[in-house]
Amino acid sequence: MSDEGVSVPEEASARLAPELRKIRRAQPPHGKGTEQDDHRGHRGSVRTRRYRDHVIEIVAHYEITIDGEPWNQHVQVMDDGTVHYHGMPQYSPPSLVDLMERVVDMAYAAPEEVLEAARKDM
Amino acid sequence: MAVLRQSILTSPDAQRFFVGAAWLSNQLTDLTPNDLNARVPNEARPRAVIAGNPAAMSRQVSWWDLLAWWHLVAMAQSTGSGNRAHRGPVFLPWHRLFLRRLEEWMQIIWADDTFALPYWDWAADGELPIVAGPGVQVTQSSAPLWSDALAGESQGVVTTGPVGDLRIRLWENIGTGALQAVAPRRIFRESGLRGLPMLPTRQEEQETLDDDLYDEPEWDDDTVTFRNKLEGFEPSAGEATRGAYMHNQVHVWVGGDMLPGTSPNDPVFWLNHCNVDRLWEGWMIDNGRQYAPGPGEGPPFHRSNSPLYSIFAGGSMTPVQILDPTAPGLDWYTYG
Repeated sequence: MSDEGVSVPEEASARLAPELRKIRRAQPPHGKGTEQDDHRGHRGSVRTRRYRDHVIEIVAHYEITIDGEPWNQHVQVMDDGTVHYHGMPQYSPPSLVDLMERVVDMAYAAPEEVLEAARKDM
Repeated sequence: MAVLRQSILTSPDAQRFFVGAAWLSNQLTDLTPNDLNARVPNEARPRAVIAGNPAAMSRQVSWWDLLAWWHLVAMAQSTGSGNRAHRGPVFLPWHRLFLRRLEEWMQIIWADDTFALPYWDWAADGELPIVAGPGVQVTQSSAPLWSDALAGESQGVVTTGPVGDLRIRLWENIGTGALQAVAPRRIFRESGLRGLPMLPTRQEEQETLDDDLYDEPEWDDDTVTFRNKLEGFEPSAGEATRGAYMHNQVHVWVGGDMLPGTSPNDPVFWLNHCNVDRLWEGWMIDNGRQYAPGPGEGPPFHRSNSPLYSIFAGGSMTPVQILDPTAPGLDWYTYG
């Protein structure tokens, strides 16, 4: 790999190899074990707040479709009312419409090279 | 020896950073998505389990792919309202360790222990106009960072410069929510085109630095503290209306492969976080090397003595151990 005369030395691969052994030692294969709830649509978003010695619980359920097809990802409503989806971890807009527009941007309007690579191996 | 981290526009290591990233992305390990799935901690399942057809699942991943996987596995381990790398006090120390490991890989492959990660001073670009017009030569999305010699195109598939040679094989598909093994492809960006049209500004940066409280209960994405403002869930001033600020805003502004949990796929991820780390370091120089919560306080895995999630044997450290990157025994880096 090079660019305008700057190239990674040939022996780099051998020098890096011990790092992989550290990864293998740290991440031993193991059984599946108990999985967490996968948050895919069947749970509502739950907000709980104690106020004047009363416990308030707010459960929000959404039914979202795109072109009539169910979109079953878990959407979380934060304490300040903004919404969050784990697929875009840095984004918590005030409007779920804004969030879903970004989902459509990525799921349907990404460059064809990106969408094709995703389709090819599923 | 502590190395000197400098701006991507002046760093002598800028070109080697991008060439090295592309090299790591094309240098295959002997691990496959099937191998990685067998190593996913139970706490990170099912989000961090890679999906794909048999051919994709048995295709070797690269060193660069391992970085995106590491980030995703950390992110998939819930700690309550946050996870082991975000939405809480551990955000800054976890990414400090993450950056340092890449810096060490770069030093190894270049056989040069003076190599230092560069940072992107994005608030400087945030002072540029958003759109071109009469008398406007340079906009936020055509700033020098996006030249062919550096990060490549700010919009569309990156085809030029060293980053044009970079290939990725793991992608968190925003449409399906699945971590997917994909055919090797180039990265893409949509800077300023979707959602947020501008980068953070110098004023927002200063207002963030002016907050002298690192973090406080509930230790989440709702606190009005330095950490949460820098991470970007809380505005530096005023009401939360944009959905992303500071670090988060940079992810959303760049867009494309900078959006999902596999965002380390884009080399700009590292430039963004190196700048975040620089701001944290400057804040600690002014406010003291303080960290909260202490042992036994706050959410698990966010405490001063909590192990930072690592994929390396013996590679985990605690927040308090890395508060000073120039400390004897670390001697990692300083900022210029």
